[in-house]
Amino acid sequence: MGEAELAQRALWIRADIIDMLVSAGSGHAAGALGLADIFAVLYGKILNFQKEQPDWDGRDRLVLSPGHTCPVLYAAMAEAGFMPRRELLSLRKLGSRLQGHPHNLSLSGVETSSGSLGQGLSQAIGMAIAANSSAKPWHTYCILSDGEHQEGQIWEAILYAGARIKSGLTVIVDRNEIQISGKTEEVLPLESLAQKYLAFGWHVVEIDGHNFAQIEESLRWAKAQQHPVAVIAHTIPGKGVSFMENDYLWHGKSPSEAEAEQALADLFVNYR
Amino acid sequence: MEYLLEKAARERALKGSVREAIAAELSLAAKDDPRIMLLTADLTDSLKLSDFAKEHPGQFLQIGVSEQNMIGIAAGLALSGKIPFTASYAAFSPGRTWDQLRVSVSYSQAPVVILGSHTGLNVGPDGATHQCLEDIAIMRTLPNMRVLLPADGNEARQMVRAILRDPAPTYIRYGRENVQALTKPDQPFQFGEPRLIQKGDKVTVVATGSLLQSGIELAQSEEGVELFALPSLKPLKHEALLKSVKKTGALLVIEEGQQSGGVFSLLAELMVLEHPVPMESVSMKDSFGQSGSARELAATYQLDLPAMKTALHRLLKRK
Repeated sequence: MGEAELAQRALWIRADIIDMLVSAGSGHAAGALGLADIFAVLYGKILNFQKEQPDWDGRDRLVLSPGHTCPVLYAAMAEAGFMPRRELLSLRKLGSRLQGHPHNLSLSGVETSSGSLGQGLSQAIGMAIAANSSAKPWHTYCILSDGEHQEGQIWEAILYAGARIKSGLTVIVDRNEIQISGKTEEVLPLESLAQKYLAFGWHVVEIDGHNFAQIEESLRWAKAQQHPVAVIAHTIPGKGVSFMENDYLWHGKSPSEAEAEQALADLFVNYR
Repeated sequence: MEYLLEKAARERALKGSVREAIAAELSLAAKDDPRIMLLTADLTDSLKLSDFAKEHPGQFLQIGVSEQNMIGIAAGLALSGKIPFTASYAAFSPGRTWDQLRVSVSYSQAPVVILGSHTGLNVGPDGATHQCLEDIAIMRTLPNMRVLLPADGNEARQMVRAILRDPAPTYIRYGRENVQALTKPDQPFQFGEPRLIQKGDKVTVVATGSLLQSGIELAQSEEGVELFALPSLKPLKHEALLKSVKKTGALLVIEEGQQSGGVFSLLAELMVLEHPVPMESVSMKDSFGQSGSARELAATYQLDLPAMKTALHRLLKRK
């Protein structure tokens, strides 16, 4: 799968995110849009899975710790054939498999329930440990938001993994530099995030989170290491929609009908 | 479950702590069951886990003083086919792990077993921070979470076996003290079943966990006491208790925890809905404990046999 096809996938993921959010009337736009390129690569080229059997034992695990960004997960799963794309419009509605924050029991292929920040990495560690006792060990990828590094449990997990985990675990940090209340560096500064991971015994790679080649290369390299690796992906929140980019106010907002129309125009005109 | 009602029989039976029995049972079971994992947050020796760690190093995880991470790792293991037992003091887990238990365990239905040791005042000199009294309340309110109160090592071992046959999120809480065996060994534990220990027609008494022994002494020294143990707090089948209360017309609940939210509250909810009767509670009355010997503390906070008798007589007057 070449870059053109990845770009196509990412475009559809972004368009679906806009459609889902306007249909739901609520939800989190910025983080989801920022992660679309990473998810295009994950589901297009990296993850080992069987779409007809989402709970296949040998599948790679993808833990989405910042559960509020779930529209990107659902859209990527639909794009990869886990469910019909029409189902995406059921986001956040009563009885939907697509809960407002992911629920492992509601949708097969969703590994963990998340929404309360800071819990995903611990679970990913547990999965990586279990993989070691499996005849066909899978790889565990864990997405973390930068803001959720303000939760203490994250550092417990980073400390433990740095000391005890060798292979099987890759973290992708969505470093979009925003959180609910504003810029992360103004609310509660996180830099240097890379130095912190290094101090805890991890390997670190910093990439442009919108460069397909860098995303793929860094994940393949990370998987081969005998060390836990944090891929710090610098992303633009709201990427692809001109009036959303780099605006922290879009963290927890969904677009109106008019805004969605403008957003789709942005996506399809500007992103080919 | 058959109980050893004869005092002499109890004195002859093995004394031991629940935590020792659980560790021994897990050591035994882990040999042929690779699903079992045992995690602790730096309490290996205190919780008697050293033998397990030595015998099954691939199934033991020392997490360090990171209880929230411990629960998360357990959830990840459970979602990957393991049955993890997490061991700490109840004051620390579920004390500081409630959100993790809510989201990663209960809501996700990850079959994690939470072992909460050192409950109640028997912790003694360590004092209030270590004497967990609020855990029953915060755990029984979580959907999908079973809550078990073993009275002795035998019962605890049977609980472990039952969980391994039917894995699901489960909380087991118990004190640190050595207890006389109150139950006969090798009797299967069944979720949901209250245990009738002694028949009577004047008053129903429910006694749990560490205080069951005093409950038995109470029942044997007072007239007309129908005594139940409640090893399974959640799930709980109501029929036997309702039948008893319809007969006796009064209910005394004995537990080593805060009055608010625990066993008394659960049974009060049931009775108010089904069959209101006068009730009394032997429990902590909205207070923390303090340093002291176990015996002194039981007397100070009115959780000892004399306090139980007082509560019983007060209840009988209200009938």
